[in-house]
Amino acid sequence: MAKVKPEFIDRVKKLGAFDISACYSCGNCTAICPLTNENYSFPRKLIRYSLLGIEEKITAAPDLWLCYYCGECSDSCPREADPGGLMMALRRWAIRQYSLGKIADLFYGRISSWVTWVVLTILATLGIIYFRNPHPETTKAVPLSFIGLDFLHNAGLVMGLFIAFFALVHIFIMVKSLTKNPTTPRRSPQKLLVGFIQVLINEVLLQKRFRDCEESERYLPHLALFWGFAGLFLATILVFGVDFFGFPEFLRPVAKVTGIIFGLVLIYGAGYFILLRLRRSNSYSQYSHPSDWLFLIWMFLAGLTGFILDIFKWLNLPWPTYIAFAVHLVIVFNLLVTAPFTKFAHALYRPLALWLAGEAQTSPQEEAS
Amino acid sequence: MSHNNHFPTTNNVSGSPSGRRIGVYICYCGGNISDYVDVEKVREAIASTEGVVVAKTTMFACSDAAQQEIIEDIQEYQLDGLVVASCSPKLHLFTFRGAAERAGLNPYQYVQVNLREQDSWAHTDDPQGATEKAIKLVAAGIAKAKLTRPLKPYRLETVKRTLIIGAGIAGLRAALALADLGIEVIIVEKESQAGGWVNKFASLYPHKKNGQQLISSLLYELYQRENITLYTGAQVVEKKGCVGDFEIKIKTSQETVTHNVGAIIVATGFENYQPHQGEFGYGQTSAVITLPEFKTLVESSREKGTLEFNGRPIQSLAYIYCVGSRQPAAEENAHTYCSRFCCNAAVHTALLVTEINSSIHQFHLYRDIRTYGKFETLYEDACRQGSVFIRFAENEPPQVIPENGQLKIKVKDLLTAGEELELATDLIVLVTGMVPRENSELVNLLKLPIGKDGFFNEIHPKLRPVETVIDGVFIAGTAQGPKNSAESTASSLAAAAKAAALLIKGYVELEPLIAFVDVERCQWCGLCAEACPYEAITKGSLGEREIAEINRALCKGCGGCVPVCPQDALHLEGYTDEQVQAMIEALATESS
Repeated sequence: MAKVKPEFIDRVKKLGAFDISACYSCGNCTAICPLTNENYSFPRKLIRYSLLGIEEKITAAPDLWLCYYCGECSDSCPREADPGGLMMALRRWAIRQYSLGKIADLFYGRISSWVTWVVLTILATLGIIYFRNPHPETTKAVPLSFIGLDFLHNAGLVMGLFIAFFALVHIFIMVKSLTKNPTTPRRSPQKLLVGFIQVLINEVLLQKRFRDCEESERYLPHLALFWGFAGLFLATILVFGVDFFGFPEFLRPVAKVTGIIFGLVLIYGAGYFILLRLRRSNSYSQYSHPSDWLFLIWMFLAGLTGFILDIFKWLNLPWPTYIAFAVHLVIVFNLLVTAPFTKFAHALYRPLALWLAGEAQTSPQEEAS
Repeated sequence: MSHNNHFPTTNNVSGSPSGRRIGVYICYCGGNISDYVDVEKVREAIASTEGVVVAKTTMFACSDAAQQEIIEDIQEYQLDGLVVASCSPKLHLFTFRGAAERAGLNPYQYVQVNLREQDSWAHTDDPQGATEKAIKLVAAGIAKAKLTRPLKPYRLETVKRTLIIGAGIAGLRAALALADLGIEVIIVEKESQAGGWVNKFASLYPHKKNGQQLISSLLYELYQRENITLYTGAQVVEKKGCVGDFEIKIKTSQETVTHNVGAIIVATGFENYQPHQGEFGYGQTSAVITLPEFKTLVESSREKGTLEFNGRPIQSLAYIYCVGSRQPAAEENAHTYCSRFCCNAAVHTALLVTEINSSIHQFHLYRDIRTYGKFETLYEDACRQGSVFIRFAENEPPQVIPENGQLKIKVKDLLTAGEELELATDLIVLVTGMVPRENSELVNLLKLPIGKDGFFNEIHPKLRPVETVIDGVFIAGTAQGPKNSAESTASSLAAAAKAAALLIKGYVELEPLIAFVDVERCQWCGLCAEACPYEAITKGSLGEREIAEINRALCKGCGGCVPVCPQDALHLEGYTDEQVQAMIEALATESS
């Protein structure tokens, strides 16, 4: 017995899917969806759950995360109800729902999201002003003379623990919701391990399902966005390793080159999606929630300020280098500390859902053949 | 069209004993008859029958060419009787009567023999037997034709005045139409006020006028016309006479008046289905109401700007569709039909609710949504404005559970993979349909047939939608079955047109194939009058003697009186004893 909650759809409509009530249950969306299969049929089912406000069915379904928003369903909807937009809005809603104490609400309210970002930026800026070395090297550009390595190390550690804590809690909440669902397959630990590796390789590193969407233009930029960020993260780890954990010194230039390459890749990926959302020429780019913009803009700026920092350093301009460094740190702080609560969290939820749904083993196209 | 292979036979006997000159045409019906009946053999067998002057076979007797040939034969051979052996008279009796008339032969001297429905189609397994039967049937037809005489339709002058029963939107609109054609109108309304249901209706689609405004405009027009008389609080208590000249007694609170009218339009409307105690919680809690009740609430709330029930603002409500409509036939007095207007009415009401307060959540629990035609846009608007539609199966209707002042509905939603839903709302609206009015007095008075659904029946749903089997009595609006107001008006205008067509002509022609009295034999015992279902026989007199008298306008020619007469004084034109005996003889004679 599912309880109908009439006000639910009003809440979802604040996050997108403004026309979803026009749906008359024809099922065209489900018929045309390249990722719908016997086990997971959407979006129609989720439209019904949303209109009726059966929340537990939505949070307990991995279905939301199996969709990559190619927009086929929205393009073929005879009522122009934008089912794809609903899936997106539901993912926004789910990120709030899975977050501890629904903290993520702060990033999805119309005003609260902007206030939160401004507060975080001010906090980070104040922190840097407080911990900076007031007398840095002025004859040549040495970033670490402006912000000490010790501070970076400690701040990084605290932030890492913070993110890890929330990530784990959110994973726990999501797994708990999903396993409530009787349709989520129960598998042996062995199969779960194999599934985990498959998801890691196919969906995280290669993002194969995304390619299965009819519309695959976004596949490469999305892969670039992922690899750009992951590569930069890797480069940072390497530098830290050399500085603190006695990694061999030759890794420093390797990290440098890696950073440059992946920085460019990140700028390409983030820039592509920013332009896409500005043009609004496809159904999936028609509506952008503030959370979409901020995620992309922080990503883009993180890459860009990293570059500017390097250029200033190369030109040996001490103060511009230090200011760029400070700005870069503020942006990276913003991006990372909010990751478990913003759109960034989909990097966690999507693979997790795919893993639990057992959908990564076979792609729909392989199944069909 | 005579078939070339089958040479026609013409007897050159001029001075036959009967002195009759009969033409016989046997139809192949393109194989329908000839596949099982040896049509040529039939023609040969009857061609030499006494009195038969022409005997032909034809591929399609009803074709223009064949009819032309028949006409030419009638004229060339001076035929005084015509037999076409083809299909059922229901199909082509009037076709060949017309052909006879065009040739100058009295149409009542035409006899149709049914070789298709009554022979070839019935005996597909026995062609030989079918052929033998065909020979006898045609012989009987010839025997009957030989005893026909020229008859004339009975012509009756009509009174240029119409009675309309019921002053709802249908009755009023028909009255205006008739009055404008110069026909006087008498309207009889049972209620103390004209206007019917529509007068109580809230804002209507698509012009947003309410029912009262519509009725007022009709009544305003009505009072402009001098040839309309409206009796309210009145009833028709007696009807005499027949098409063209009925004598009507009307009883009002003060007086009883009599009028002669040429036609009657019955526009007595419908009744709202009243849910029984406990049907979807009706009567168990005040928060379950019917659609008409809810519409009244909505109408009064439109001015206030808030929708409240029992002093509390409504935040959510549910409509349950098809209440009292489309009931399973197994139920007692089941309304098995679709009431047609209710889907539109409910969806339209939902839009009015949204106009008052768009944050009210509305759920529509339905079996099938039938917002036909231009009402489809209402459905779409309702969806877009947030109405949620939930579809239940016929055998699993929603359950309403009143629980501590809050209403709960349990329903399996077919649109959500049969998910069992629990819905709590502030109000439940039962979308009730139309049911026939309890009108037995009027039914008895007019002798109108009632359909299985309890509404008045038309003769033919498509071709004669407002005529009844009682000549001169028409039906209009929802008295005939569920309709919305637009459809009611359309049907009432159709009834007005039919009544006007009858009355403006000034006379009606009635079939002459009715009963007649042998005045020599009749001794008036009254048995025939008792047997007559149309009250067409009354006591009359011939000089001193009392005899039966037949009202030619009322007699339908059913023959019910003929066998009861102990004096054998009653006969039916077209089916006289002589004719029937001759037919039996022909059927019983062994063919050579």
